[in-house]
Amino acid sequence: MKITLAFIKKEFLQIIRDPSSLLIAFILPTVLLFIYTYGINLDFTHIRLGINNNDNEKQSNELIDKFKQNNYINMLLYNNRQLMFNDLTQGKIQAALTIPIDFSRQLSAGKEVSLQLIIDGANYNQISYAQNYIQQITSEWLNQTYLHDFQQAAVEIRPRYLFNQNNDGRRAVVPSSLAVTMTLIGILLTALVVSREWERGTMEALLAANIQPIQFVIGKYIPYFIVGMLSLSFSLAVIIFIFHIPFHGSFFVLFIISSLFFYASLGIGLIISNCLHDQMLASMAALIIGFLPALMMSGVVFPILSMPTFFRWLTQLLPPTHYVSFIKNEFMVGSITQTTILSGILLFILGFLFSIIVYKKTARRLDD
Amino acid sequence: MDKQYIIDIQNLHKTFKSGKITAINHLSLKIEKGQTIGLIGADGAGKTTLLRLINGLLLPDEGYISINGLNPWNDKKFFINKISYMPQKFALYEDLTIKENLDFYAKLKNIDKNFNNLLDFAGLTLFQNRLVGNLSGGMKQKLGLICALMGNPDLLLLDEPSVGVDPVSRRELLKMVKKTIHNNATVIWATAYMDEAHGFDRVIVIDKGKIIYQGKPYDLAPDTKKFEEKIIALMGGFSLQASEVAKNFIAKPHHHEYVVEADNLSKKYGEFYAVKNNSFKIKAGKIFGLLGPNGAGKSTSFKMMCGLIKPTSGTARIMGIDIIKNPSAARANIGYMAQKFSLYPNLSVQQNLNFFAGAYGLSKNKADDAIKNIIDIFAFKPFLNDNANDLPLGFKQRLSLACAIMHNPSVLFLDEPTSGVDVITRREFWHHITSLAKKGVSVLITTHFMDEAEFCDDISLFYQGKTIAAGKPQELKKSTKCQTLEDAFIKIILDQKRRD
Repeated sequence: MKITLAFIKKEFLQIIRDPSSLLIAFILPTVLLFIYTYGINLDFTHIRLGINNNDNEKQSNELIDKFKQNNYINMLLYNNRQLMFNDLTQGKIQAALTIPIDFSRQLSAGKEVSLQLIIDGANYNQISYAQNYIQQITSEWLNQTYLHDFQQAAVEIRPRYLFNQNNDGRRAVVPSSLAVTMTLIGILLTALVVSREWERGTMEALLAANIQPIQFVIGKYIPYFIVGMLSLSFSLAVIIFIFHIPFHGSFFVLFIISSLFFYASLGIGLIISNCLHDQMLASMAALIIGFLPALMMSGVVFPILSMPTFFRWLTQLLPPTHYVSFIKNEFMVGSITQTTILSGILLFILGFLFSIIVYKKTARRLDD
Repeated sequence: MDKQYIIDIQNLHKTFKSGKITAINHLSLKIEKGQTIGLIGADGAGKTTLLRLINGLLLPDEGYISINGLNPWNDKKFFINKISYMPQKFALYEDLTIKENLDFYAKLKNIDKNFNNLLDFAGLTLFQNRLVGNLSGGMKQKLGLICALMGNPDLLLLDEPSVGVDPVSRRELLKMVKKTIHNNATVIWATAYMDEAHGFDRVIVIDKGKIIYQGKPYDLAPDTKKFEEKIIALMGGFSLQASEVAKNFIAKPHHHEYVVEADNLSKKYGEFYAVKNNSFKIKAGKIFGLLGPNGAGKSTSFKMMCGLIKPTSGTARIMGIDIIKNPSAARANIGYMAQKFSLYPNLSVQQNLNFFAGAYGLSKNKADDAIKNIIDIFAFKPFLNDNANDLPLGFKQRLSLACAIMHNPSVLFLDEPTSGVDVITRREFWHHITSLAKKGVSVLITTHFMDEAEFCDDISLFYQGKTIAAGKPQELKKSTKCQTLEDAFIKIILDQKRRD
């Protein structure tokens, strides 16, 4: 016990002396959260749309005005259809709309008309956005102009976005990005701490002094757990008080589950650090093992349900997967007993599993 | 088991890389209580592995070790504070202070914090709150030694504590151990210094994982010089053939009498002079030794001479070219070999040579010629495809030297090239250096080995940024009335300290 305490004290002294851990714990999350909140927007805006109007009557010009007024669309008019297609091929515009010659006439006659929309499919994500925007604008215009001519639509869908009334992307993105950021911090903090002992030769002295693996493991977990929780509190304050993202859950529950989450994340970092005795390698591994899957496979960016079965199972091994679903709820809905308990249990199981591996991987001798 | 033996080793065998490398080869050894034992061996002979095995840091493949009847692997907790080990690499936390390091290790070993006495002895009391990272090499070694001496151990295992330490600090380390251990304590001290080993109760010489000599050093030879010859002979011997390196080396002809001239070089960091008004001249084809305690400003002088740091005032000329006005032209005449092995360990010999030829900016044809030449000169042919890391230490050093003289420089700068190198490899290296000097290459060298300093034509003794003595080795010995250069060195430094 005395030895473990001495070890923890030593780690804290090192943390205070070493600006890089403080940088990781407090500056890095601020920067990342700022980028996620203001820099990244998952909605596509400013889609460049080319229109070739062959009709040039009142109706088609009205429609074009609608496009012109819309914020999400930057419109360009083409007289020459071939020219428009050339620009589409060269990526100068992302979608090309052709209005046929007899558009106004047919429409006035009450007949069905088709508009041709060609979308650059190279950027996979923008296809549906471009299509949706353009369809929406067209049908809105149609409703306003010809509502009196047609019968009221039998069914109208009026969406209401539950838990996010304004359909504000930030409210959903920021809490999950907090989860990604905390994963990175948890892993980065610990990924270097064992490899550093190896690289500087102090591991040899520790082993020679017969420090027990359990003392070593606890001595490495506790200080960085505390730093991690401080980092989380700090980030929460930034999100709530500076970015004004509303928080509907309970701080008590949040801290309980976050503790379990850090328990698991620090474990991954310590496994990396125990396996790689080189600081450079360990930090690379921390980024690749810790950050990238957290970003891509935890459901923050790409939905887990649309992944193949194998990967869906794989995501369950990543602590951020469970934390993301929990923290989104906590922010936007409030504590939901069922998901909270489930996330808690899964995170604990992962954390426990990882800490056993850390314990097993901790060197007893120099050639372990 | 006999009571008077503290260590009893039988048929110890240890291999690495799944049996490919044999570090300890069926070794048996008994060590009596209360003795100080020097452990000598070439690099890679198995000294460190043996110490680590005794300490339980490694498990043997075969064999048995008993320390006072206990087994170092299973019973370690019973004698943890009775056996102390000081690893070769500084095992200290550089971002903690002296006091914090000591507190930590004391608690780790469950020892009372009674180290004030040791701190006084090491002269570190005043620096207790200084970060270890800011200490000089000698101070770090003393602190490491305090950590090992804490708790009054029965068995002290020291892995080359005097590597890279100046003669003054080296004597202090030895004194610290002798004065603070109890009468019955046993010390195993690995060393590359033959004078150190000669002073111990017994020496053990190991080679290729086997003990090749064990006994009183005095029985082997009555004085240090002869002792060294005997040890070298035991370790396979070193025959003084004509240096292959120098045989085919053709020096660039030039007309300069003095190839290196340092003219009042000074470097100031804040209010502190790292180097103050340093002036000296090196004659063509001479070896100039720059000696001094750790932190005296040798490396700073070196870096200024190479044009790596800008002097605060003063200048240096290499082959008459001013290092400040025209650094790259001056540098082109210098071959530089750093203290650390600075080749690429996972490139082959050929690849390293190719790279350095490119780095020196040799054109394709010139580079091919130079490399071909170097391969002949250094006899690298059998090793061309081996990784630099897998070469024997002597060859690594040759390769470093080869890369340093690839562009046929007229001046060689060697910064502690023999630190941590065993006695045979040192001999071989100096043989190459003196042969190159005979061919007209001028050499500037720093070293902590005073026996090496004897090979220099001129030496300059550096202390606190200033030259405090200069001259030929013979003259220095005469003026201080000392038998050896080491005694002269210590006397001059201590005189200077008294005067300050």
